[in-house]
Amino acid sequence: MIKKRIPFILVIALLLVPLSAFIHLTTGEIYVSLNDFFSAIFEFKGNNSSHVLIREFKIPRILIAIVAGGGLALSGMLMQTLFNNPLAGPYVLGINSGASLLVALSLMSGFSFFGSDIGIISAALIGAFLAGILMMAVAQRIRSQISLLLVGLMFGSFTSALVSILESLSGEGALKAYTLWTMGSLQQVEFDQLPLILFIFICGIFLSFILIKPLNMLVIGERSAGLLGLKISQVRFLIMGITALLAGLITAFCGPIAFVGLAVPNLTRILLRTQNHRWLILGNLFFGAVFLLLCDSIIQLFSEQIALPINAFTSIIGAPFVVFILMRKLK
Amino acid sequence: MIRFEQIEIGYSKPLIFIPSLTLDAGKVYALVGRNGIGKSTFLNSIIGQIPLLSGNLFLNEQAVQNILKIELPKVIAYVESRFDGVEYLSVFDYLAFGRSPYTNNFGSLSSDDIQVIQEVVKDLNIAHLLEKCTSEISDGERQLCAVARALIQTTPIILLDEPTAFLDYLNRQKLVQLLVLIAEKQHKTIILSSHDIDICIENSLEFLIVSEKKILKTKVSDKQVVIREMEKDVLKSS
Amino acid sequence: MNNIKFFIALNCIFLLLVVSACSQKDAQLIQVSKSKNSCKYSKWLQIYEGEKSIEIKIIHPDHPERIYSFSGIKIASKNLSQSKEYILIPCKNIAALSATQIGMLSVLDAENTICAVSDSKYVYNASVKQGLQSGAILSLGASQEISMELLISSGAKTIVHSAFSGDFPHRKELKKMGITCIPNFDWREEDPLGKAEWLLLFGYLTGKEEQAKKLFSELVISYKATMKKVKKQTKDQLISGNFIRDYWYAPAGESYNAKLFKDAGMNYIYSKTKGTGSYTVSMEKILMDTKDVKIWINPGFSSRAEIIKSNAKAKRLNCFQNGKIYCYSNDLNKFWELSAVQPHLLLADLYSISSRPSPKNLHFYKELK
Repeated sequence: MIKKRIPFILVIALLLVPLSAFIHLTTGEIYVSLNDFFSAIFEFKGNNSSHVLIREFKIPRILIAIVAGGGLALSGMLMQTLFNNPLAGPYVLGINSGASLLVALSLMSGFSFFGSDIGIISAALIGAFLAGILMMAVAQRIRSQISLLLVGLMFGSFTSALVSILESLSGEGALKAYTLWTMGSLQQVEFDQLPLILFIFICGIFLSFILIKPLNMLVIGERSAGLLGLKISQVRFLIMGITALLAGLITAFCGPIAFVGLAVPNLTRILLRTQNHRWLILGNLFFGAVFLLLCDSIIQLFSEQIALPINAFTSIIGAPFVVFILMRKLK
Repeated sequence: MIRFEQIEIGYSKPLIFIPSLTLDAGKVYALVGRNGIGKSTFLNSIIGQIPLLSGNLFLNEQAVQNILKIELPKVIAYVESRFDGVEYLSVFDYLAFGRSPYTNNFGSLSSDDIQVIQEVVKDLNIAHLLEKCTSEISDGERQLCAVARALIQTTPIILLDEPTAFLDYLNRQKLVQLLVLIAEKQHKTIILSSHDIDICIENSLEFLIVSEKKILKTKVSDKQVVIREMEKDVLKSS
Repeated sequence: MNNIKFFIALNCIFLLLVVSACSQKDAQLIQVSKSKNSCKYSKWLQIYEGEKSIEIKIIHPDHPERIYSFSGIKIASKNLSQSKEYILIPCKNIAALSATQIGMLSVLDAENTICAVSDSKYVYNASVKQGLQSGAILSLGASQEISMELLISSGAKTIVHSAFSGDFPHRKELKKMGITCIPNFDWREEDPLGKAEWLLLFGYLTGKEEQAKKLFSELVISYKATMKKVKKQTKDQLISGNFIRDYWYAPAGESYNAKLFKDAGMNYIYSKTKGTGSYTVSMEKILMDTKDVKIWINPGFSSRAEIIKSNAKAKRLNCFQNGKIYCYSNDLNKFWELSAVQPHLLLADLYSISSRPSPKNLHFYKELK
């Protein structure tokens, strides 16, 4: 039984992605035409500032918005399904906290090796990776879903406390640099880093598709799914691994970006009216990308008047939406 | 059919001793006993959630330790006492989960799978519910769907944990009568735990009374028999 | 009817109060400007030489109604009015809580009046460094977290502080102990000569006002001479500032740095913007705005590698790839201490940078490689 509605919505969502990218491209402070865009890609000349603008500034920003939006939404979906909790997000496992802790360490301690910009990306990746491994090890030993969720949250609190201590010990410059990092940025990615980012992103998507059946089964609860033959610990491990990969990648290159991973999966479920992850994966990728592209376009539009960090804006839109979900759930 | 040999069931200390017990195919057994006596532990031990402390369990003449984890759901199905439904999960998709032990890695339903589903839907008369969301139907309808899902699993053994607890009188009767019919027609072994002794007697179920750390398998025509057995535990504790 | 009359009367009284308050402020300012102010360029500092005392008035840049008044007197007498704040000149124990103050005192050879400094790791002056080592000068730690006990134990009688966040903490208690806190707003001056003019304050405080006046007039002459050398504005475009994360912060058109650029005849691309603080520019706009820029001043780092480390996008700018980059990183401590009181040298540096392809003998600046 194929409902015509879902594919229809997904096709529209898919078309919205290049449309949003186009809006982002053309509503910047500097006017860019489609012609300029294509000539920058196919006939790139290093001394043409318009080409440099498109290749080194606009394209990385647009692509990372798509990766971050889609990736965070996808991770959020994975976490919400794993924990049967619509308020879970990609950061409940403490991935983000691990990355933040290592970035704080690298900025505020004396390691000169870590002080460079590349160093921050590596620090965040290592931090995310370590946090992911820790949580996956813990998951093997804890049976209850709620306990696992709580461990993740406690880990997050603990690392936040450590970061606070570091902040109080550090100098003004380092503190400022760290605070700026926590505001998130879609503009710090280099064109040359894009192939790696896209490769990991696509790996994450591919792995998610492989998990469609387990994800669908988890919807009726871990216990029921287990009694239907699902290998719970194996599936937990894989889902957490993919989330760590995607969320870690995005946090490393963009810093923490709030609310996308929490709000978009809920929005996708409400719009598609399904629990079938075959559709939800696609929906989250598309809606997440569109959401972040449009948020960033608005920031771009007002960048002359006010320098808004991306985190602030996604929170402004996301927080009321989460309240809305809570109210629906409590009814 | 299920066969128990020298089995001890419990967590660290044994709660129930079963020296020898055979449950035949084609029958529905009513599992009764006081609260906390170990009914759920008993059921959970059969499906493998709680390891047996000792002894041998045979499901359809296969020793439980020889059944692969992925094959177990094809032998035994479990129905929870309460299913609250999930938002946006359609009844059809929910029923389709019953075929999970048989489907491929993407969960695609083969034509055989669909046929099984359609037959069960016809038998249980729930075709009108298929497109609805599991969160939007009534408790009775949901419980029926849960039983349907277990049937779709096409297992020789079905366990139900207090399936009638949240149903009204009429629905309770309907459900137990349905289970008796299915057990006979499809030659399944069905165990349901319940506090509603009257309905079980009315439908001529054979009883498994858990008391004094043992299981007494007996046909019951008089409620007093059951009550007396259950009271034995009260006497002990007082 | 009665209610309406009452209402009108109330409003009239209210209006009268407002008007009288306003006119009081004007009256104050008019009164002050009748005597002769020794400061010609400074916006916030006013010094009046009287017969028996030196009247120092410092206006708060954000709250012009707040005027800090100090009376500098040579002899302590018993009939002093309680409403005024008196300073015994010359000051012997000054706590200099900012680098520019050390610089100004040092050009007057008055380092021996310093008894305490903050942020001692940024000190450039040799005799102050020696004083810190020998213990004659007390180090007070970071300027944001100065301990009161340490400050008082240093024996300071006069505290000059940069007033970033308003009044000095515990100002009233210190006054009761006979310790005067003087706010220094040289960092809010937009005119480079106005900033340097605060030298006069230190001149009067240390009793070396003649020396200070002489030094100041000399540097004004030197500054204006350099300005005359500028025949016409150079064609080469100039950018200043740097990225902080996603945005570029450049000095706005009415700021201190913008005035320096203008006086040096440099073609600063944001010279027409309004404001005295920073002008914020998005990444894309700065890329396009600087596509013909040949000179980049004050990125805030001492090497090109450091610039890229802090923000990789900087290497895409034409001014980075094909332009010359200069920063005051020749000796950072020297810059922060002395540039305020040596604007003529700053201007000379900037003039050299704009008029010569390979400027030599720069005082504060160096080219970044």
